[in-house]
Amino acid sequence: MTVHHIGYLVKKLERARSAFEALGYGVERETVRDEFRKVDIVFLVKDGYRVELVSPYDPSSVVAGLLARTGNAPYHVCYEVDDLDAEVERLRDARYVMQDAPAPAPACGGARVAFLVHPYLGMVELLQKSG
Amino acid sequence: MERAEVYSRLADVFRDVFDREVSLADATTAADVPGWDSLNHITLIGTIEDEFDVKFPMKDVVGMKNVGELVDKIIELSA
Repeated sequence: MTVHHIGYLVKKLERARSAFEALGYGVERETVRDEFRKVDIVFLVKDGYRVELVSPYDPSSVVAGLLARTGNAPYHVCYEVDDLDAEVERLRDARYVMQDAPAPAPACGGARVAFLVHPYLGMVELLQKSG
Repeated sequence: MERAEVYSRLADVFRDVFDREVSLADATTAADVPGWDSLNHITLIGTIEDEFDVKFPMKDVVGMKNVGELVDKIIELSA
């Protein structure tokens, strides 16, 4: 399990992107609309660190309520794993609760991801390693 | 476990998750509790699992209609 990115929840994607670019981040993948999760996503990198800007475009997005509570803020760490289903099972035993069944993520090239929430940590994302 | 004990401990869980007192009854639904959205529901389930040392099947995580069903499920899982 290795850290893949840190997810930032933001209200205005393009303005947040410009703010990260001012810090020296470069766009890794242009904006992708994830219609399953009702968010727009862009990845940026700097010094080997990757951030994912996530902005809900519809009030029914699962993270819209969180954005209203927290404002612009980091909200999850994504870990790349060899066996997504096995890691989900393992983390279920450690009190993580799955938010949705694992599903493809358009912003990650269609790789399967799963979001889990721990009551005393918050949200994590697991990303199935390709190949 | 008696329902009264479940309700008492559940009140503590709701206070932890929502940072305020929440009035609970069998008919209480998410629509009755400001802030009980889909994401807070997952946090609530995780906190209940920790408090009662139970593990909800995935279908029950999203399938329970009201607090009464939640209490029934906690009693069933902790038996």
